[in-house]
Amino acid sequence: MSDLETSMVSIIDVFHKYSGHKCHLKKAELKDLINHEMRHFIKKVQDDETLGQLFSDLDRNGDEKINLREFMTFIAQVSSACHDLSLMHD
Amino acid sequence: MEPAISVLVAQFKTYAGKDGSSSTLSKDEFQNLVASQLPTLVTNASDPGVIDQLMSSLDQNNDGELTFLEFWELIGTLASKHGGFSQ
Repeated sequence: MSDLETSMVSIIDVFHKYSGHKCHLKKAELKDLINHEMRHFIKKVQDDETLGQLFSDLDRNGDEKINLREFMTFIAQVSSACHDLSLMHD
Repeated sequence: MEPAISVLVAQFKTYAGKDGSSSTLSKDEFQNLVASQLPTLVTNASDPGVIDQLMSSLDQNNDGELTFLEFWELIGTLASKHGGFSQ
């Protein structure tokens, strides 16, 4: 596998680690994932209001669960913001 | 997980920087990236028809270039399809 594919697998593995292999994250699981795995990118999520807002932003289909697709969108937004990708202009 | 995200971003930037705008992928850059970096997950990456099809499904604003977020749709789709595989 290439570097890119290996990195994708790492991210998918983290999702599975916190979703307990049921293929979706509940609110508490999302909070754990962010607080443990994304400490450099996101300030710790400590209050329920922040968590609630984040969760509903990510939960595109409103089923109260974050599936892998919704999770990957979240990673894209974080990556884009943190690496100034959306701000790069030529 | 953060190093993995950095790798993904770095790969995008490497390929996006080859011609034209360094923050978007042209069709050529996209084909190079897919052929080199996604050979396991995207079969027939050397087939221009496959690239055309992928490109038009990802290019949401139809400007002929893929931003990071447009490109990421492909990563999300591949991840969902192959998401069962873990070590």
